Parts: sequence; structure tokens; C-alpha cells
Amino acid sequence: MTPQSPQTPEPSPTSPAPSAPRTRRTSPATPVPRTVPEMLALRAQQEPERTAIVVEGEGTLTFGEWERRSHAIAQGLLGRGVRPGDRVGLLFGSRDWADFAVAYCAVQLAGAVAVPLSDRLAPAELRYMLGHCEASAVLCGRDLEAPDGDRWTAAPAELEDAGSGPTGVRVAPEDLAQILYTSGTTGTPKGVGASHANLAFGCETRPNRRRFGHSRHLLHAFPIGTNAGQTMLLNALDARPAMLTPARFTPGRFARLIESYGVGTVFLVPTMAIELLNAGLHERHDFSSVVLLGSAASALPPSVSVRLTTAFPNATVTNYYTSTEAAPAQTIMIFDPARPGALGRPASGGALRVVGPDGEPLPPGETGEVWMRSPAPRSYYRDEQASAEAFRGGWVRMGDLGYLDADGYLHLVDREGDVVKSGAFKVSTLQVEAALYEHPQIAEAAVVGVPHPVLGTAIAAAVVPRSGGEVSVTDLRAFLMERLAGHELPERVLVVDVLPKNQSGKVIKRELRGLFGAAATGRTEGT
Amino acid sequence: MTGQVASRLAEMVEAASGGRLPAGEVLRSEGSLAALGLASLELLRLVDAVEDEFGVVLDLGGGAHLDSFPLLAGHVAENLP
Repeated sequence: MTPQSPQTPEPSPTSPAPSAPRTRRTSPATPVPRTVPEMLALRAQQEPERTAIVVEGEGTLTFGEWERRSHAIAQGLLGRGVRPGDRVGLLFGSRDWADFAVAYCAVQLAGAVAVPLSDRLAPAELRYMLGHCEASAVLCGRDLEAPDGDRWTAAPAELEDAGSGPTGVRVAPEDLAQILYTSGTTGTPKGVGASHANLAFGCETRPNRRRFGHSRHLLHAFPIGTNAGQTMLLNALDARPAMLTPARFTPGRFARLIESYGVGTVFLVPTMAIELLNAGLHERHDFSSVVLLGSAASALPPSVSVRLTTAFPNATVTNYYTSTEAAPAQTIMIFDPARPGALGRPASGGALRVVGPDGEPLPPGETGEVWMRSPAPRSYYRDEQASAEAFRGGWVRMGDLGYLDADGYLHLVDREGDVVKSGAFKVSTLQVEAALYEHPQIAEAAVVGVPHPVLGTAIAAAVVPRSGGEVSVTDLRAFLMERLAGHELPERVLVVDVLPKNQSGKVIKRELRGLFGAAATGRTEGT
Repeated sequence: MTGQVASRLAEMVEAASGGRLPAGEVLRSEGSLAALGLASLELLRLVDAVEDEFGVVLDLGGGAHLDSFPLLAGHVAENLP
């Protein structure tokens, strides 16, 4: 990577529209990549000198470098015994986005399966994920170490001297390409497997039709290991603008990047958008270059969308709704004051329906489960029971309740089950409860999501100490930090004598949420 | 100098937490800010505020300076421009 300073402002947009739905090309003139390595090869051939990735303060990566380094590391992986189909963990923080992108493609060039892992994960979570997929190796970013296990670890640079050029390994569209771990409804993370066909679906290869063509830079701060982060990596491979990301995200740094690069396309989550607005960063920085402001991971509250249209005066504010399981199927909605809460209609080759308890589609206006169908479905890796629960006949149960209006626009009403959306992350309350139950002084624990002005939902835990025991909330958080990622730590902890339960002994979560709304209900409120 | 910085930082932690963590409690704390209850989003707010007010860039990814409030105060005091 070579250092790079901000460039001249973006060109004026020729079209303010966000990405059109990815559609498959039928013309034989330009090859259609069917695997991620084919996407990289085509782009490196078309534009070897073009900047693909900029990590602010760290450097840049061109398509030519991306391909050359990926080939070298793929040779290194094969030399160390990695075989097609093996799972390889990729543990990287945001400042190493470029190395991560190289390692990701290298794993796939070796015919293996990339398992992106966030540096925010707690050691116990990493151990579980690497154990579950039986990773044979882990490539790590700077200052990161994989948990001990029956596998080898290395930094990407250690593998780059093994050779150069293509590996000769054949990678097929139906081959498993990636496993992403996400919170599941049973409390343990689920590995969502995606084939190359899934990841390469809708890749646009014609130079004059590349997505986000109005922008020179696409800025985001999604963590590695999330579906949104992986979507950005695919954008880096096939969209027009270079992918720009801060080495370490804060709202202030993000705002400075928009201004200094004259960024044309910005992707964020509602939590970040609200932080930018509440901190008044739009009043201190020039956001006029932004022509597309995309929000992913959860729905933008309408009032926030309205504020964003003012803060980003030239931007089309757009909501994208999908999930790790459903991608690339999604709904896309350009904010429309006439339909402020709508999330749009299906795009990217996906399909959408709202169904009743019998699985049959409901008429417009009736609330039911939201299902989406991807053109190249994903599935849970090594978990047939959970797959059967979440994936039905190619349809993905989104875990949301909603309805379609008369024009087919999706509106969300509530979230079902034991998974809550906090900021950009899905958090399994069962997983947090399981971690609390590991504490020797805790007799009972229950976790719910409670309304939060910025995160949408914050994690709140009520705990009952063992008889005669005392629980320090500070000690409890320190205990949980070994077991849970930062976004899973309960922001509010209430120590109570009893949990509200129904006659069959099940915790009544609605009443539990009420405890966090009432002052001084519990014995101790730890915040 | 550290004392003044610590007092001001404690107020900034209180502000970053939306008033949930009283400055006095922060000043007396010895554990990590996360264990004290500063959520990850609030930590980002604090990092921006420290950068704006003190001109000190906090590295969120490493270093021991975020492991406790006294270490944070010491780090900021030592790195004042």
C-alpha cells in the first residue's frame, strides 16, 4: 500500500439515482464473472492501476496489487497445506481492510472458504466460530491473535513470498465461498454460507455501467465480518468508486473524510446517521458532495431521514433492507415523504412476501412474517435444524413482522423472537443471557432490548444474585467482556430480587422491559 | 496538570454517557470505561470530544490508555500538544 492524500472533489453526478438493482448481463461482449476470483481477475485486467481501496491514514490498494498479492498468498496457503473446501478464518480490524481484502480473495483463489471475523469479537466467540467451521488456518491483521486451537495462524505478509501467478485451482460458481457468523435465534452464532454464485450475482462488468458511477469514493465504516462489510468489499471489486474507510471509526473522523475527499457515496447505519446529526457534524463540515446516502443494517426512522435530507442537501437518502441470510436479495427505498416508513420493493433479483402462520401470503395491509428469497440462496453451515427453521423452500424468514401496502412497499412493524437489533448489529438476547449465567454469583438472568434514542434498541439485563450473594455491576461487565463483543454488552443492568414470570415460569419480557422504564424498581441500577 | 485534565475528562465521560455516569464516580473509578458502563457508541463520542478539545488522538484499537480512567487521564495529559 502507498500513502494517499485526499483527492480532488467528486465529479458532478450524472445521475443521482442509487444503484439500480443488480441484473445479470446477457450480452456476450463482456464476460460475466461467476466467482469472486473471476470478478477480481476481470477488474485487474480492465483497470490494474485504478485505486480499489483507500484506508485513511494507512494507504491504498490498486486492482493490480490486489490480484498480484492475492495470487501470492494463495500460493502460500496451498504451500502450507490448505486444500479446496478448507475453511480459513480472517481476523482483521478496520485499519487492515486492504490486507483483509487481499487475504479474502487469496483464500478463494486457493479454492478454500473465507470466514471473515471481526476484531471486536470476544475470545470465546472466536473460539466457537473457528471450532464450529473447523478452520484449518487463521490469517490475522496487525496485533491480533487467534485463540489457541488445532490450526496454524499467520499474517498475510508471511505467505506472500511463496510464489506468484495463478494457482491452477478451479473454483466453480456453486462452491462455498464464504461463511459469515451472525446471531441466531437459539443463542449460538450461526454460520451463513454463501456460494460464489451468490456473491457474484448481478456483478456489473461494463465499464460505463458500473454502480455508483457518479462517485469517485464510496465511504463506509462497516466492520469486517458483517454482511454490510462484505457487501462493501464486493462494491470495491465491481463498482466505479474506490472504497474509502477510516482506519478507526468515530463520527468526527467520518465527517472529516466526507469533506476532505469530497465523497460522493456514503453508506452508514441509522445509529451513525443519528450520531452525525446529534453531534452537529453537518454544521461543521461540508457534506454537499454526497449524492447518495445509503442506510443499511436496519431501517432509518422517518424523522432521521428528514433530517438527513437537510444535512446532506444534494443526497438521495436511500434505505437498503436485507439480512446476512437473504443477501443479495434486498428492498431499496429512496426516502419518500409520502411514504416515510416504507422500506421499498424487492430488488437485486430478490422476491418479497408477507405471510401468515400457515406460510401463505397475506393480502396488503395485513401484518405477518416478512420473507425474502434470494436468486442464489444462502444457508446455515452445518446446522440443518436451524436451516430448516430459517430457510423454507428458498425463502428466508427475516425475523421481522411487517406488511405490504397496496403498491407492494414493505413496512416493518416489529421484530419477533429473541434477536434484537442494536445499532448495526443483531444481538441474541439468549446469547447474552447464557454469558450472564456463567457468572458464579448469578442465579437468574434475563435480557431484553429497550428503546434507545441512537441505537434504536439497547441491551438491558436484569439479574438475580444467588442467595446471600452480591453482584457488582462493574465486575459483571468485566466478566462479560471476556465472553461477548462490545455491542453485546448490556448497557443497562438491573439487580433484582425476582424476575417477572408467567405461571409456567417463563420470563415475561414485556414486563421486564417495563422495569427499565420505571425508576428505582430494582435493588441496584448499574449503567 | 493531570488532575485538571482528569477532572475535565470525567465531565466529558459524563457528557458522552448522556449524564448516566456521574463525573465524580468516573474520577474514582479504576476499572475500564467499558466495565464502568460506557457503551461502545459513547466511547466513540468521548474519543471525538477529546480530539476536539485536547487535540489528542486516541487509538481505539490498541494501547493500554483506555483500560482505565486513570490511564486515560495520564495518556491525555502526557500527549497534550
